[in-house]
Amino acid sequence: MSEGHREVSSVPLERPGTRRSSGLERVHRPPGAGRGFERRPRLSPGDRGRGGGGTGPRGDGSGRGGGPPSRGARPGSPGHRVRLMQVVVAVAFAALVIRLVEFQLTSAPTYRTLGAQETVVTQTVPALRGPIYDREGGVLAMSQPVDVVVADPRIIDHPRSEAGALAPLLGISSTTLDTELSNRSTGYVVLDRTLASGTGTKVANLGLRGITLTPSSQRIEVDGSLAAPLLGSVDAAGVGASGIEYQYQKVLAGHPGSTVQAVSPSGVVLPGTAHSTAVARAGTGVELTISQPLQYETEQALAAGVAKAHATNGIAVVMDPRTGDILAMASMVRDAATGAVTEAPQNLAVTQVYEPGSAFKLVTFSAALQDGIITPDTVVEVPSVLPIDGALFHDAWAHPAEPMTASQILAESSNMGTILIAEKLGAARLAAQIHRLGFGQPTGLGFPGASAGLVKPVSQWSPTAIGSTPIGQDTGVTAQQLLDMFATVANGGVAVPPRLVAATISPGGTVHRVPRARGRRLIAAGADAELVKMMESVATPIGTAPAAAVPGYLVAGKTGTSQIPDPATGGYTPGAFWGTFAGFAPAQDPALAAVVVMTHPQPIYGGSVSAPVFSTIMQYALHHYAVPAAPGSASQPLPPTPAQVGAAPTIGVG
Amino acid sequence: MAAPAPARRRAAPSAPRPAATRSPGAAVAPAAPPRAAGVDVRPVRPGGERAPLRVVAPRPRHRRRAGRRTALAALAIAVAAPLSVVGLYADMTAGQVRLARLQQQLTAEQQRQNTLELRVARLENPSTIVAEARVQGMVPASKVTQIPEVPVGVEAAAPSTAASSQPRASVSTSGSRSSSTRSSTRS
Repeated sequence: MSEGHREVSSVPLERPGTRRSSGLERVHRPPGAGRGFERRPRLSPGDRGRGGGGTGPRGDGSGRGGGPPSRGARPGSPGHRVRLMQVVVAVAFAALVIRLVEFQLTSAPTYRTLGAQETVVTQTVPALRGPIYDREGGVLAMSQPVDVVVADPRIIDHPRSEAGALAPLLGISSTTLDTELSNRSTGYVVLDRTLASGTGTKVANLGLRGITLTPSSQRIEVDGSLAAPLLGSVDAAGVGASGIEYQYQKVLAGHPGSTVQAVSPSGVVLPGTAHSTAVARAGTGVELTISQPLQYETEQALAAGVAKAHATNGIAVVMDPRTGDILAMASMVRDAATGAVTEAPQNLAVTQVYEPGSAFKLVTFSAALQDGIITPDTVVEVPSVLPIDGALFHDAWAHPAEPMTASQILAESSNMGTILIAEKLGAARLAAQIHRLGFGQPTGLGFPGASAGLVKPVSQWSPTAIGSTPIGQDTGVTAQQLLDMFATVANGGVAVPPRLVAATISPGGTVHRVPRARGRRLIAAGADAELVKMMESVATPIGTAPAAAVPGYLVAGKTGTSQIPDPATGGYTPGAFWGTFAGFAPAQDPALAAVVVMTHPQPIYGGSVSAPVFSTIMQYALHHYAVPAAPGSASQPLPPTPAQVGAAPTIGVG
Repeated sequence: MAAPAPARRRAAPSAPRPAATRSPGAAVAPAAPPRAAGVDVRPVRPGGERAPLRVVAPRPRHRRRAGRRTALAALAIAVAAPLSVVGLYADMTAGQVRLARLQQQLTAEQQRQNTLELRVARLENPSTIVAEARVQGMVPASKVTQIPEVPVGVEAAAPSTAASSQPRASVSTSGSRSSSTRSSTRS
């Protein structure tokens, strides 16, 4: 019963007052007796209590070991410890339960997300941008799926061997690739942004460490720069940045999809785990009213004209006056240093505002004819100079005062005759006609950056405006606005709003036609017919644009040569001109209207630089659209002379 | 402390508790007599009288068979259910792999179609056609003759001939003002 028969070490292994619960105590054994520990039966509290003194740790008789046997829940008693353990276990379980509830209810989504991030990867699947077609279904721009190849040199162990494997697929020299893959200062090196998807698959199959492929798309203009200012461009992210690409961004863009897939810690996709959470939907195609062949011919003709005239830039637009469809829209610029003519960075046809010059006289004549101020045979006494509020107006050529018919005034582009007619018409009616024909207002195309022009309200006209405005000064227009007016005249006085988009085509091939806007009559039919007859004389040998004639067809049109303002001085830049020719054919049943504008041409006259380009374009377009030629041998009619008319001047100075 | 403790309804202990572990002074109950397995221990009545012994009928044989069958069925279900789940999962995974493969094929075919469309578009574009025509020695027609549509029975008029557009390189404006020096200076 007592441990007195054992030799217990006098050095306690526990602090005084504590007990070992393992039942093992260090026992001093004589040398050679084996292990220093031996199992000894655990002593009951009563035994320990009765032990009293002795040589044990509590042999001094103090403390619990030396007291009388305890009963109930005394500290240190089994009941006390059991209850203590119960409390501890209860608290531990309560804590576990609280944590469990927190995990399962409160923080579950967060931890689920964190867990998913470890193994699940969501990859965006880019939507292919919708194509842009011409009116005959030819593709002008389309998107191709490509892969962006990115390397992480920091985890590439064998750059040379990987470079060797990649080089033939990427078309980059092995040496260059080796240099890029060995550069451990960065973890992100784009090796190729436009790798064809087929080749991308081959790269992926190589299973190279540190090489990642990201699906993307590339916008391709099929014919290079054809109609580039019109089509516009997309930025690096594939978002429309200018032109039609920008205007129809929402239609063309489509909706990207996403794929969720599980990956191993090394980044390998686990087979069978990929599934689409959202299917990528390709963008809707846009069918333009542009004709690809005519656009090509127009650009070629304009480029040749710009190069020949050493112009700074050139604009050419072809339109169907009956439908408002724009068939070609070209803007070219010439590099003064090299002489190379290329597509302009922006669509000058709708963004460049310029003074149209004499081409604007059509406004004056249409209003005067409509209001009965003149007829084609009205004789006007044209002075050599005309003073208005201290300013002297004159014609482009010196001549004495002479009688001219209204047809002659238009054909020969007499400033004096036009101003006298405008004075008879009055500023208010002239201003009203300017507004009615759409100047100073958007054309309705909605093209990005399109200008509405610069037109002063009649209340702000200067005293000399009645002299300058009728001949195309003091008013800023775009080439498209000018063509709209000529198209209205060609269409019997009915204006049909221009349009560039004929239809949208869904990815499934369903065509949604854009409804045509209804035409509005702006010029009385009778006055319009007379005006067309007068315009036919422009392309005659005595008119200002014989070069605009198209063999086999009657052409009606008007030239314009205007000075370029100098913002610094508020006047005009010496020697700087715009040359314009706008017209339509066949004059008796117009099918096509066109305008050609050149900036800084040499020679300066629209009849010399722009009219030939008009003729070239029209010849091609009329044949392309199989427009019937004039019956018999059509020739441009000469304007009637005062002698032929046999009437006295009814309009003159004073 | 001589009162005997009631017999306990439990399996006979293999050995009595060692008295040394008990507190001093506590009554030590006599060890319960060993019981044979399957022998019912009759409860002791309050008056110390034991209940009379009786014969317990053995469990019916069919009930034992039914119990065995139930146990076998449960075992079969326990084994078959996880195997079925594993099998279905394997089948589903195989289907997913097949689906993924088909989607890859579809994507590849779509890419091929896209590439071919681009190729066709490039072949159709005007600059390619013009270049190819030049390679084949074609030149713009010097004149174009239009053949009018004539109703049957009506004598056709002479066709109008229109000079074709000249090559753009030779577009000239030199003759445009030759007829009138005055008009050449007008706009």
